[in-house]
Amino acid sequence: MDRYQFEGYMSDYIENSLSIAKRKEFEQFLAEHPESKEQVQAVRSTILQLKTLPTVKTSDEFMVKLQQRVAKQRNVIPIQQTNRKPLIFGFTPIAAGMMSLVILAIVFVGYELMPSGSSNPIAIPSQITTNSVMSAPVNQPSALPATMESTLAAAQDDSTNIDRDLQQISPALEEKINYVKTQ
Amino acid sequence: MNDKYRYNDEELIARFQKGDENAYTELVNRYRDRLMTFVYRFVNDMEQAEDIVQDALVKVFTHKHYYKEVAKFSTWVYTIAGNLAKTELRKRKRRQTSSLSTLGLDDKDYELPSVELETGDHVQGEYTEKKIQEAIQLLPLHFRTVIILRDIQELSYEEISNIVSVPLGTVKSRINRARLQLQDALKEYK
Repeated sequence: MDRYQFEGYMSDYIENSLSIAKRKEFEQFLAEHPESKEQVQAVRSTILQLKTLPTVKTSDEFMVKLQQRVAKQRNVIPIQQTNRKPLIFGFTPIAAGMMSLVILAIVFVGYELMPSGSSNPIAIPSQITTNSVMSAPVNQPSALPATMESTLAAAQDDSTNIDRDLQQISPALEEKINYVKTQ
Repeated sequence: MNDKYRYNDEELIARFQKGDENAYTELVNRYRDRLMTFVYRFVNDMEQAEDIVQDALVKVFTHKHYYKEVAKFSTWVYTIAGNLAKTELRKRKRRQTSSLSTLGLDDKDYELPSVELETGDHVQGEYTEKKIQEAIQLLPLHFRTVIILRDIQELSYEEISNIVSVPLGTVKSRINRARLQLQDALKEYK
């Protein structure tokens, strides 16, 4: 054991928390170094002096002063709470106002950017539909039979045909429904 | 069982957190002198020590919900008092920066607490206490804290480790070094 280890183990030795092997080693060192033994005694004596120092007591006015300070705090806390500004959805009125303005601005800009003349915001622009890559080349002969072509042409010419067809179909459907009901 | 100890500290703070202010008064009565001893040995000024203890106990009142039962109440309250005491010493150091270099220990008036010693040798006791108090003030703050908590307040190493927020091994090492320094400082008085 060297001097550094001796100092490291001193407190553990004094407080009886060294293992038996370490304790023997420490005592061996003390036997070989009388000045170290004296130092251990001196430290032991210092600890004893510290332990026997008197308790320092608070003054007689301590509790009165503390009660006054606590009472003051008790009054301060509700005042602080009432002074706080009301929150709107967890935001201060200024922050909430700013956020409302930003939302209104986004809605306004979005409305302004919407394509004009179309009530459906997700409608495909007419330019795309007319120049569609899906449309058949003009000079090439059509692969569809003549009857189908004429039907399609008629349908493209007058979109209201769909409504007329539906009107024609509905009496037939009603008839079938009535048949099912009677069955 | 004595009524005074019907509840332990953790039960008392729990009752106080639920609104029972008698529990707070009981905690104050249990800790006022313990904290006073700790803080006075640390800052070496009776008035300042009492103010710090009051600050600590007011903090317990206003911040009662900050206490969580993962730690002992004593650990929490000693941590508060220790931090306030360190802050006070830093403030004092700033105030005295200009004159600190010329101020020696002999120039300082030590305000000793009025304590009644049970031993007959009153004068000798006061002298010894004064010298020990002076020697404690010579220690660096991190040594001073641990030696007071261990050898004067007799707290466990584990609790000291929690209060000062350093590992157990560091606490042991600091206490060891502090004892050696203290013994060295007191050598001439023996």
